[in-house]
Amino acid sequence: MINAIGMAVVSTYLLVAVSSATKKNDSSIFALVGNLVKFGITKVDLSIQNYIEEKDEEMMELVTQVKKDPTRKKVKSIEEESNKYEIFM
Amino acid sequence: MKNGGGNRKTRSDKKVDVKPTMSINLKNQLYSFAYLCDEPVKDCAEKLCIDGATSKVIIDDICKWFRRNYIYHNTVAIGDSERQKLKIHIQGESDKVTIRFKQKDYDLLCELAHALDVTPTTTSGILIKTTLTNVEFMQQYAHEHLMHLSDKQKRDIDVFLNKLWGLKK
Repeated sequence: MINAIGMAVVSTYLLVAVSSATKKNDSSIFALVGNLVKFGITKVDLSIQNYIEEKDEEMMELVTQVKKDPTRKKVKSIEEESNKYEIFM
Repeated sequence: MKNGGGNRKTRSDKKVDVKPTMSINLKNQLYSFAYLCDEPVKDCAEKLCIDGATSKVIIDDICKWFRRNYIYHNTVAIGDSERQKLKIHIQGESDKVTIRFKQKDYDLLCELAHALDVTPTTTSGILIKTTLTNVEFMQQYAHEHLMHLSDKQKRDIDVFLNKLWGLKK
């Protein structure tokens, strides 16, 4: 997860750096390389985003599973709450 | 000393009798503790109640039941009248223990009883229960009142309390 975030940050930085070069609309080798890098970074960015979304969905599924499964998490009943105000002597 | 009409004068330092009802189990625990401390039960229970009523550890423990504010040692424990009243359950057979408080200490007990919205008698029972079962309080109590005892007596008290708290040693 940390790696994915790191890659996303680096790719965004590269995207910004190269886009500033390509904005000039020149047909130099730099602009070509810039366009290629931009394309690559966009693809990487998309795949990272997809990966993050997948992971998020998995986590959400796990959370809902825990909520539904009574063996994992016991629901606190109202009766239990009221038992706080008693002492056994 | 007799007064004119044949009535006895009341002592200025007359003690007040309080007889809390508690389970036989708790009563036995109190009696055993007093025996190990080499003190009468009355004195031991009195000390537990008075120390408990002014102990931060105990007040922090029972302040969840406060329905009115309680002031001790320049500290105010906030009560909430919206809270449910504390219910007392006695498991199994019950019996009474007689404790005698000085008027000043009884007044303190009454203040705590007012905060808990129960009777002073019940409050003394609650204090005995909470003090005996509170590890931190008993450590402080031992440092304050039991240091004069012999090593064997201290060890016996230690074994008894560990057994009471369900700790292995």
